[in-house]
Amino acid sequence: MKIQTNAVNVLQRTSAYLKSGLLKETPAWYNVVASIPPSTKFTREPRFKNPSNGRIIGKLVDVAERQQANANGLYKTRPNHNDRRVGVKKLYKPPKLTYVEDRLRVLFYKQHPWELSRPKILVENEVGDENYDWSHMPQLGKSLDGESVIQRTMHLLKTQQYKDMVEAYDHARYEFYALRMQEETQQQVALEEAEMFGSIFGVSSIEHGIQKEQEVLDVWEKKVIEETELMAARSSNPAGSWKDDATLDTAQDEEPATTENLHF
Amino acid sequence: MLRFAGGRTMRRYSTRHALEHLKEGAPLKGLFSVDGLQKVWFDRVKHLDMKLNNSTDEAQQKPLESLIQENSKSASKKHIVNYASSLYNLRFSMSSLQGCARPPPEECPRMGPEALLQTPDFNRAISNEPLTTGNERLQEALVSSFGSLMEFRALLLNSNLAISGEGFTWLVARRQLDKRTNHNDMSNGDIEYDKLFILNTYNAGTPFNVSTSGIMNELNNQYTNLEKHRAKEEGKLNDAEAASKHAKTKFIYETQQKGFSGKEVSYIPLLAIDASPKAWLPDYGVFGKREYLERVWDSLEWRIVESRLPQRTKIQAFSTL
Repeated sequence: MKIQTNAVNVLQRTSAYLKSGLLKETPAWYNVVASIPPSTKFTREPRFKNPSNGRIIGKLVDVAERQQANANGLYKTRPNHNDRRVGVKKLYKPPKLTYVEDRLRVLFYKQHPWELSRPKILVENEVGDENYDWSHMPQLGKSLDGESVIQRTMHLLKTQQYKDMVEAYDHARYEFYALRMQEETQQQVALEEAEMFGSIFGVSSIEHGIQKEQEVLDVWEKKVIEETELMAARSSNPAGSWKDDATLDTAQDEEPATTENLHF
Repeated sequence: MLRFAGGRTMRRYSTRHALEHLKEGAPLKGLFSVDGLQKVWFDRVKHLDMKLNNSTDEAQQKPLESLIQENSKSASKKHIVNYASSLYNLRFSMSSLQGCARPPPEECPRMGPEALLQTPDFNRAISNEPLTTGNERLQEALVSSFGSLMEFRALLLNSNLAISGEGFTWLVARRQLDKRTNHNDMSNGDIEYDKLFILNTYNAGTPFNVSTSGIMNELNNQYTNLEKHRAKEEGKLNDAEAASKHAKTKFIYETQQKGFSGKEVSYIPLLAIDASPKAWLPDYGVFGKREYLERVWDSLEWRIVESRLPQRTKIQAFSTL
């Protein structure tokens, strides 16, 4: 496909329209685009360095520089097909960005899988938009969770309170534990105190679900007992079974339908 | 002369509830200033004692515990129980506070709203451990019931911190009385406990469960009597069915009440911490409750707590309930 350049000229065109009187009012975006004009460079430039880790992309490694022996104890002296290939493709691809925070997040939620079961508002993920001061762990307007630990660890590292990341992470983790314990006791005591002063709490959503399930199960239980009795009667008196074939059929038809509905 | 002056100051409030280590006009060092102690202890004790004396004639003769126990099941005597219980709780909590070596609270800067967002201290060393004051028996009991002293401290202080109004956090020892071996217990005179617990009481709540133990049985009996009465009036007596139903519900309530071990449970208080704003507001300000609690921990007199600790039951098997 031809390179599309039309959008780049939007500023010039609008200026012309304004000048000629085709447009009466200046568009809202006009000044913004004028101050930050779109790029007119359409040539793709190779990127030789991955900005997130500083590694050089597409570098041909001289085989002679490799000193490691392979599994058989032999050294490589000549490049094979793969070694001779230069990763030109990669030069034009946006390099993958990696963050230390991501690795910390993975570690934290691997160590504390039940933290994932806590309800979370998706907006909470946009931590970068908020200006939280991580010199302390609890924040106004943000609930305590794994993200707090990660941000606090990064703060401890940035402010040079710890040089080692593991130590900083442990520090943040212990603070998190202390706060979680406090929070849990607080909830428990608040409930106890409220009950003590006469509050009555209704059924929880889980209990409600169980009640609804039990209603269906009660109906099911009755049916099952009836059908079991029917089957027992049939097997004890084989001579009588051919007589009421019609009722037998309907009973058999009903049974799979109900069990399927109940996921049993 | 000194003794006389002492007597005079003591007479200002009921001498029955006086504690030796608390003196009017002197601070409880490291914990309460002179003014603070006045508001925390002397003013409250005088007020509660006066109220209790006004509400009953027996206040002077009987100990507070028996006032609580005797009146706890009567609705019309609720105020007596409340005053007696408040007084008992307050005295109990103050009795084990000896003061600590920290600088006086009035000289320290008060915490502002930033205390709400304070990060907990990472330092995991504990000051004022029972072991350092030579109370190994208490230390051992705490460790076996709560896992470690660190856990005990966190639970105790957090439970207190979470109380938003008036209240007390207690360390109690659970005592299980087996009805079958009750007579032997009485003859020995030994009190045994099996586990320690932390308990919160709110307002004038008492850690003794005299009013609640067996209450489900009583209510159940009242209910079945009412049912029987109604059935009689209606004229259709279905005795066998009613009796079996009654026996079943009674059995369920009894087992719930006693746990599965068939024992009656009572609690022996060992330690109380006052959560009332009256205790920490004068000296530590609106945001100072945590600071107050840290100082309370340092001020605890473990010797007194240990002296209240009964003997541990020998048989530990099957008593985990």
